[in-house]
Amino acid sequence: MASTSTSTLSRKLILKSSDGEKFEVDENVAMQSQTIKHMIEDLDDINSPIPVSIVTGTILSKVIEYCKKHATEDSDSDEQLKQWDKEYANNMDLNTLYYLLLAANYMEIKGLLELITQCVADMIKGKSPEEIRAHFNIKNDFTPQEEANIRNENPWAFEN
Amino acid sequence: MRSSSKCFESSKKVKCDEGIDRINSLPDKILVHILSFLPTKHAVGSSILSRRWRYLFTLLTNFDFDETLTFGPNDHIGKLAVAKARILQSLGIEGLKWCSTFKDFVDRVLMLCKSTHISSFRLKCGLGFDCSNVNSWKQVALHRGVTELDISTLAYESSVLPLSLFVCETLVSLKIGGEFEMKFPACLLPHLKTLQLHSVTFSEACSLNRLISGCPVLEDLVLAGSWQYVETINISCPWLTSLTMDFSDIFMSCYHRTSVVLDLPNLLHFNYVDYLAEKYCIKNIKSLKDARIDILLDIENADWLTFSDSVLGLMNGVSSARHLYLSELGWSRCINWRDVLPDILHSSPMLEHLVFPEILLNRVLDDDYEDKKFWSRLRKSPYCLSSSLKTITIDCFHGFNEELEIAKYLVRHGKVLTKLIIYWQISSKKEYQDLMKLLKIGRLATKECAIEVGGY
Repeated sequence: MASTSTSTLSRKLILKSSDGEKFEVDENVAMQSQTIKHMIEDLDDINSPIPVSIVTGTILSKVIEYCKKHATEDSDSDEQLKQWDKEYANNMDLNTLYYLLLAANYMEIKGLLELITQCVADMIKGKSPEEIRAHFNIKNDFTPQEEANIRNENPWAFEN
Repeated sequence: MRSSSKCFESSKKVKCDEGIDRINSLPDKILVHILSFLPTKHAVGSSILSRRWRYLFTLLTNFDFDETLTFGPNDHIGKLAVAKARILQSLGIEGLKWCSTFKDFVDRVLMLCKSTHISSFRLKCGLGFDCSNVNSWKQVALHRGVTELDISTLAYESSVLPLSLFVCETLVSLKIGGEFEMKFPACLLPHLKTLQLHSVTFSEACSLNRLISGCPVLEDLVLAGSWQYVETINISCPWLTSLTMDFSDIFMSCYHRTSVVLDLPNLLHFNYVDYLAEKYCIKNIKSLKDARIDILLDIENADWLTFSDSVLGLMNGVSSARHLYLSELGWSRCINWRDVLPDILHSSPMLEHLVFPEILLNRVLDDDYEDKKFWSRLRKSPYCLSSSLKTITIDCFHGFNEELEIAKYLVRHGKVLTKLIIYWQISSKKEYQDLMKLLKIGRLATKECAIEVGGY
């Protein structure tokens, strides 16, 4: 089982990924997603699997890992939680980060969305346009003349 | 249901298609969210990456205009170029061009901004910047319902803030730094929770307290920088939970205020760095979590006698603190610890954690009278020692006999003490033996209380 908890108080929910994998999670873990929270409110039978339609099992397991960490009110201080978040984000490759962004956006998990967008922003920080393009594999589709025009429009943005 | 080993396998598979330009396929909302973490200079700079990024910056709702910004922390050449431009600017050469490109930039970005709402607006201007447009930018932010406003300038000329700033309904956080004159016929900031004022000045009829009384839900107040020649600081605020007064500005010469008056019934965190005032009147602080008090050293007036009453007034005001941190700068030179330590212990019944600097720098050798007075006041053990005080840290311990006696006393009477930390540079055999003797006492001997000894 991908995720269980020893708590008997909390109800269990089953989340189903786009590729059909099922995850049993505590209700308070799943409720960090506003989308799921709203879905449960409209649901008659909470024992039937809740479809998380655009998120694959691989990504959903990572989302649940994050939600579990942030659902438990154990002795972790804010500092420890921040450190955990940092390591969590740093262990992801770029592709996983993209999918996590889409998942956090779709599932409306504010903390996760903040964490990953900040992480991508940190990758952009301090890099020249050429370095950013190389890092994210962005194809420059401007002509040299167009590029010169953009630089002229906002000269201060490109001054050192 | 899946196992964790499978998860690892599929993440490897995903890596294979990294060649695709995937970031471009993220929705606008997410890309703008990413840009919102960057200074606006860099967010706008992203428009050159590709067509996908061309106009994303026009969707931003938070702005961070930093005139002093250069690219990348490692860009020495860029930094040198800026330094050079600034020198020229201060001489009046080329400077106008520098200013105007920044001005044009801010004007253009605000003009192109598509959102009718601005959530945060930060503006930082460097030395020699002509602030003439600043107020119009602030107006734009205020008209679009800004919740966080942060304006700081290093310019010398004093300027006045727009009046609409003081009656803005949407502001939640306001930070102002620099030569701004606080002048307001009326003040009502109904949602303001955070207020930071750095080196501003108040015009005659507009006091700090009048400003604060217009902020009914204020929780966090920071006063910092140079507040020189403000004789009296008077703050009375029912909801305030955190107050920082940090006047350790390098441009401020020694200045003793006439009085500091505080009436803050809900204060939890208090952080105070200043030269001692002549008088403290601190009322109603009932349940402080922590107090950090750092008295700046007045070299010319290093006579603790002058201020010993005011120290007691200050310490009595924060006596409900559970964590008390007394930093080392000026304390020891203007305060005789043997005078105030018994009072602090007796008047702080909830104290859990105490950090204090060198005890006896001002000691008079073999002063029997002082010594007797000190011990007579500790004959009755302070309540916090027997009920709440768990850790004590002593910075700059010299190992004088008097100091050792105080340390021994604290260990003997500390019924719930679990840790004693002493910063003591042990350099002689005698000091080592003294430490060994200390270790044989009370809860230290039974290891119920740990001791840490560090150098300084």
